[in-house]
Amino acid sequence: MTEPFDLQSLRQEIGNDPETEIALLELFLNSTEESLQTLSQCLGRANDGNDWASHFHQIKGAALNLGAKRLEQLCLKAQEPSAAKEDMLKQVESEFHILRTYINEIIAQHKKNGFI
Amino acid sequence: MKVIKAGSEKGLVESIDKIDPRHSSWAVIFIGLSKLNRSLDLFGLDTFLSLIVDMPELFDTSLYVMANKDCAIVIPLGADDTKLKNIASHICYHFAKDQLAQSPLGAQGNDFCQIIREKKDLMDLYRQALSLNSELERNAALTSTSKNRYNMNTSTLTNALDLRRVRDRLCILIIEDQQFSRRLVVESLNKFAEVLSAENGFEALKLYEQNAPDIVFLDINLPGMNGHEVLRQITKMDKDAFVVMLTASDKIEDVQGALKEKARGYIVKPFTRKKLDQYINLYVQKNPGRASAVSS
Repeated sequence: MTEPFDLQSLRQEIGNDPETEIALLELFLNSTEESLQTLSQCLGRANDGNDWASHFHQIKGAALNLGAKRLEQLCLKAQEPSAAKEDMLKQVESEFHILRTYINEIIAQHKKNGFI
Repeated sequence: MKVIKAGSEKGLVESIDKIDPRHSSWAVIFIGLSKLNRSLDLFGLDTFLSLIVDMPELFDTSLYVMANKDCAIVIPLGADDTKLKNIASHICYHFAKDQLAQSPLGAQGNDFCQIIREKKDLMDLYRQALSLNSELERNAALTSTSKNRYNMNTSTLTNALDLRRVRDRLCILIIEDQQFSRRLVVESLNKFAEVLSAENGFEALKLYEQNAPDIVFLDINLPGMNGHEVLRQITKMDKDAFVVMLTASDKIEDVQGALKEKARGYIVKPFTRKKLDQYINLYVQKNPGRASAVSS
């Protein structure tokens, strides 16, 4: 399985700056977690208006910019009107879990190297 | 049926304890109100109550109505769970029929009809309802004010335009509502430019007026005032504005409108430094006087 996102590309974009890298990755995790929580709440509602599509759009945008292709593709699928919501949300959450684990390992490595 | 009206969380808990100490579960119906659209009086909570006062299921209950300027919670007390469920669904039905369509919650009102058993859960639900109402109001505020023109301060903008000519660093404004994407662009560019950021149209226009940035990167999809409207307002403010649209779609028709409105180009996500640099270089080509402001 390939890495859940392209770390080298991110480093090329922001330069070799561990502090900024950590801040960005934590921001990605926090903002995505928030969106996923809102999406869970959407599941129970008969009429969630644009919430469902708009939160997946947000996650997809962040995933695209992070280089997290699998997450991005899942979010694209989840926005389709025919998508089974609960099932799609589970898949996205599962992929996010993989990403989160990987990101936490990166952060832990920076800590070990004394960057934070 | 006894109706108790009060206006605070504390009052709610105290009333439940005082009036109905035997019972430990309540049905809660949340009625969201919007300060923008109506006051409690206009909304007609009394009218709503009059719809349900003759319901047989409510004869031996107390109906606790807690309302403030933001929301109302109606709680039938003193019935068993099955009866409470019936009461709650009847109230929601009556409410949906006559009032819910007009409320900011719309059909969501039915979701706030729950049986709860702990006072803590009641308070949590009340706070959740308030938070939802605030969010609805915030979105409504963004939407309603987007219909109004931004009131520009001409002298502020004139000063900013003068400063732009002599500023020793490029000033770039990024307008993007997604936090991570916005921060990524800021971090990509801030080593060689002064980078400002905004998450919605109104913030963006204010920053533009105050700073007259050299380059604007503008997301097409913004909450409230959308990217097309922001672009129109910026180009109206400043005929020399250099605005580049940001889009998640590679379909040209999605950006054609913006290109007609004098956007200089567009970038499809992901936002890479290479793509951003392409437009920064284009800006400098068209504004050779600003070439000295670029440093890598």
